[in-house]
Amino acid sequence: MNKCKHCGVFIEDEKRCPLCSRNIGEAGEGAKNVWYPSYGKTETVPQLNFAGKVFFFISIAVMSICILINILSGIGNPWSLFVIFPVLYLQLLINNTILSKIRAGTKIILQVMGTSCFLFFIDLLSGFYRWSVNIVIPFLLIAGTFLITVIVIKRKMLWNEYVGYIIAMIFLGFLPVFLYLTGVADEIWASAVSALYSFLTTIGMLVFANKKFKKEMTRRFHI
Amino acid sequence: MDRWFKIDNAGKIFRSVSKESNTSIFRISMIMNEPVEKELLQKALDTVLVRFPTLSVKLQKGVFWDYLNQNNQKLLVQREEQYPCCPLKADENNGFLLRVLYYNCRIALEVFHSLTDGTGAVEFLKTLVYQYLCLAGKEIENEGLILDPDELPNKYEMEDSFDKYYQSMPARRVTETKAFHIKGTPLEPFGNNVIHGVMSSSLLNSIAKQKGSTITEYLTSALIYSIYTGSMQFGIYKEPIRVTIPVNLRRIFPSRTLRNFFTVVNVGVEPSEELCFETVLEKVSSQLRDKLQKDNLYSVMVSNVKLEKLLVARFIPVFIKNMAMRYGFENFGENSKTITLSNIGSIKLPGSMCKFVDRGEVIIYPTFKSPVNCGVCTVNDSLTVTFSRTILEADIIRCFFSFLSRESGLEIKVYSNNWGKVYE
Repeated sequence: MNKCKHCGVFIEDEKRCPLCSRNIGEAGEGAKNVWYPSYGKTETVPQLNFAGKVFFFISIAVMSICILINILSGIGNPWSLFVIFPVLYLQLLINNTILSKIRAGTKIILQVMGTSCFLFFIDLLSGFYRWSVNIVIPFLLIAGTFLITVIVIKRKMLWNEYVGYIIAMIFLGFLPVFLYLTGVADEIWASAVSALYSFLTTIGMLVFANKKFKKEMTRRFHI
Repeated sequence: MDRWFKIDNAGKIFRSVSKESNTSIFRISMIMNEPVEKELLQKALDTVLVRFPTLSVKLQKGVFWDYLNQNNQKLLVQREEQYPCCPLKADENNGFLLRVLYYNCRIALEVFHSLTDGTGAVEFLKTLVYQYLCLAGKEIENEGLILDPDELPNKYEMEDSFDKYYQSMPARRVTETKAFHIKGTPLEPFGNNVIHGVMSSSLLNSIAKQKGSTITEYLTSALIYSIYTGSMQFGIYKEPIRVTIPVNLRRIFPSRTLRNFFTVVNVGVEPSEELCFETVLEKVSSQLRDKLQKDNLYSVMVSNVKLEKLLVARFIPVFIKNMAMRYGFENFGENSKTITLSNIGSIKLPGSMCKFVDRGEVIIYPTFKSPVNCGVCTVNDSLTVTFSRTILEADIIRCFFSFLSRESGLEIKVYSNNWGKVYE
């Protein structure tokens, strides 16, 4: 054991003092740190998702070019929005749904929400005939709930992992009725079907997965 | 059994603020006298993990609060390869929120702070090492100092003591001013550099006694003095140097919980041109003794739990609460401290086990605003002070050990993991 004269501490098995980095010499060339592994050349974090970054840059470029041309050629007709919303949706589709490694449940919920928003804005920009809120969004929510139900049934081992997604989709299923009640939608039948489907999914969960579902609900909603 | 646990009051904070630069993962380890055998350690872990249900859990997302579900998968021991207290990846560890590592003679437990505090982690590690030594054929008596791995877990060990001992009473939250923050060059690549200093506990205790203080008071004062001499002496600083000291609440309540049950107190000194160690020691001893009074500790605990118990707060979705907690942590908790010094104290082992264990180590994770932190523990009269840091500059650490060596004449053995050091 050597003493670092500068710091006044004893150093074992190292060529340099860990405090002042001075060479303490006598430890010899063979000295090896026995207390910790040799980290060697630590790998730097790889540039993850390069394709995603490229697409992100292209999206920003396309959107900003369109906005600029739209402004320079007169703002009266906001045609650039017809480019911006599809590009934003493609961003979600490529970076989140295709390239990302997140759970299928999260992908489905984000897709349902993203597609709903995209179609709502397209509907809004093209005269707001309400086809999105009256028909498409309710059926998208039904499809999303159905898909997650299939995953829950198919992958029983992951039941409790996916129950959160089902609960989220059940809540979202009632959204079209809310849109109808607030006057955003003007046809009730598809919204009612969506709410009914959510209701039946809840009942199905309570009947077929009785104890598990109740337990999971207690845990997830504890205050 | 399909158990689940609510995250306790302290655990909720760690859950919301943890990220790569603030992992909320601390390490407690024991250095054995012989190299560790992987297979035996795995066997010991398989037995011991069942005995500690509050640690064999995985994190689940809830609507109003997240929670911990029993994890029935296998936790594998790992050979140490990464820097201490590095982030836990969900796919690395079957969802467990702890790691059991071995390297040469070291058995280390790294655990996410939402699960337990130093006391709980020490109990787990003691039982693990006991079981490991038993499997290795060593004759060891339990002597009532180790939780028996074959016993069933006790319900009092699983209780949320914050909840149990909380009583609604007026408690004023003291808002402290901004403290001095240590700054430096971030290590490249990012990681934790640790430096351990080993010294005799009994000698340090007698030196502290001579000065009329305890080991914690003496080390805290030495730390403040080192920050002053190593960082502040030649600048114009007005902020106080404030050390955060975690305090075990089991010392004032008869709790046997293995979950979090601690609070923190801050002690600090205003810098001045002529600051000497004796003045610092006097101020620190006086503040610490005052703040460790039962009434004060209880008041701090109540003020923390009170926020969680608010009816309005309970029904706010967890992601909003997490944002609020992160804001509070960054702007009140982290802003008001310079450094954390956590003294786990003396880890008592059965006499027959002592000869197989050389010493212990405690590593406290650094954070962005507190890039140097300090952990202390004693095993077999060996007191180990461990500094962990995410910055290149080690001036404060050098001042600390040099001061101790010079002032007290203690023989201090120093070693490091050398993370981020590039030698020609």
